[in-house]
Amino acid sequence: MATDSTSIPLEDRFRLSMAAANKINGGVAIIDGMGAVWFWNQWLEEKSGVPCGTAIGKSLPELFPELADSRMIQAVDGALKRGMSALLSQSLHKSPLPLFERPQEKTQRLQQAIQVTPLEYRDGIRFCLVQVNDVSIAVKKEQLLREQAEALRGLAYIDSLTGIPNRRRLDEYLGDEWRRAQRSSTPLSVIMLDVDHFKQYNDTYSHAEGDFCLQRVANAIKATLRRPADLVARYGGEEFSVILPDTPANAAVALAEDIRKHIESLDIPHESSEVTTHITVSMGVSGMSAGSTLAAAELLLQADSALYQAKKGGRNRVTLYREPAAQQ
Amino acid sequence: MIDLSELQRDALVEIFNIGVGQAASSLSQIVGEPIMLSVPLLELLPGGHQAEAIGTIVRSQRVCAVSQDFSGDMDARAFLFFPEGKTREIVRRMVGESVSAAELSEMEQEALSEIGNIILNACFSSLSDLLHTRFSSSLPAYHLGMVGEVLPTRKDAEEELLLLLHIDFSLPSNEIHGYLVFLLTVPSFNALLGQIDSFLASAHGN
Repeated sequence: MATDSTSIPLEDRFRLSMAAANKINGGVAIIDGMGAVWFWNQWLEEKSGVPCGTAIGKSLPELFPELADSRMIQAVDGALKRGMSALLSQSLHKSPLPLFERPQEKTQRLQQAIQVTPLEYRDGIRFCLVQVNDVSIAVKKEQLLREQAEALRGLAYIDSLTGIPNRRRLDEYLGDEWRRAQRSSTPLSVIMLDVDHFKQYNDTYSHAEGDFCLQRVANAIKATLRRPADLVARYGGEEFSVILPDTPANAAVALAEDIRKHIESLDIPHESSEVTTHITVSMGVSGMSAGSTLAAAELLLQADSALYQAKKGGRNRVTLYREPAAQQ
Repeated sequence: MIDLSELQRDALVEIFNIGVGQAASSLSQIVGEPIMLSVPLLELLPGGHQAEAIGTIVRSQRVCAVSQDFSGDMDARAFLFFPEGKTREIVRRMVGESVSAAELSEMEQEALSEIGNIILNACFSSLSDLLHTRFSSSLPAYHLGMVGEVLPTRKDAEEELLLLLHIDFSLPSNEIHGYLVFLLTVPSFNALLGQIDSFLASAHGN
């Protein structure tokens, strides 16, 4: 027998609406003007472990004492007293209500997004509707996407030959550390490093050997750095840069000297070098003292100019940048 | 052209400052960091050329916004918006995660919607408490786009007014300037003026 929906009597319509709200795949609660639960659907029963019969007539803090003074209660208050709708986002509140996949075990709380909307009842009295969505799956999906994005981003920051950070990462990191140094008024130093007579090395031993040499130099620099915040990057060609946060220039010079010795100790043969018979490096160091307002790009330029001085001075050495006036 | 007297303007700025002050304390509680909000400036703009007017003030044509509809003794559509790039800074600070993507993810959009929701509700709660008006508000909606798309100009634009509030968002080591816009019909605006006047009268009478 076909049922004409317009012919359904009022009390049946009410019963059907309530049955539908009860079956919705998500939490539905209706709170009356006094703040007591008036409707509590099946989903909420299942996820909270609180049966409808227990919930009806009690306020949310009576059911869940942890909610006292929470944003959830403020939202319900705002809806009842002022007619304000409110949203509780998952990012700002991980799990506002004590809801679980299996409430008997109380293991993992469901991640929720909650909406609270006022319902005009009569004579200036408002009820409010609380809708709860389980967003655990969406959160997991987003986390996965973020991890993938970060892995991809990581790749975009790595030099493919040496496996150390590339020029792009260097620029960003220098910017970040420069700002941190400004904020916290700490020193910051930069080393520029160049492999001596590398073109001749390539010509003598082949490009494949040249690549291998750069990898060994990169590893040697990385192994000499002591702190997690120190960063070595391939600047380009046979040039490398080291960023040393919270390090004054004299300490950076000492570290550069360690790097120089370490690379020399690798004893990579270089017959066509004009310095000696193995691979050596030249380095320029520039430091920014605490409270200095020197620009980040300027710091790098100074290290580069010190590197130029190191090469002019005979290579296989570390030179600290000095103000032109001080050099006279 | 309808305008605000200095007294009415001061009263509104004060009411909105009380509102955003409450919002700031709710937000601080959520993120566990001191957050300060203030409304230093209020402007009244005629409807019609709002996109151009606001684009000039914001100095960015692309904006991120959260809107809510308020209805009751007066009807208004309220927007909280920021230049697009600034939004990422706010969400990053509040959610405490690095937001690497160029656009906000769904979760982050929802977080911003809640931030907007808290601020807008607080403003209207303050209006409702001090002016004894009744409102109800819709759930917040998130928008991203050109100013003209986010704040569409209606056909009968001359029937509308814009109340533009500058809002300063102070997070530790960060200052972000945002805007609150209330789109009001002329009758609603007149109702608001009437309520401010009786508020001022009662304040002075006592």
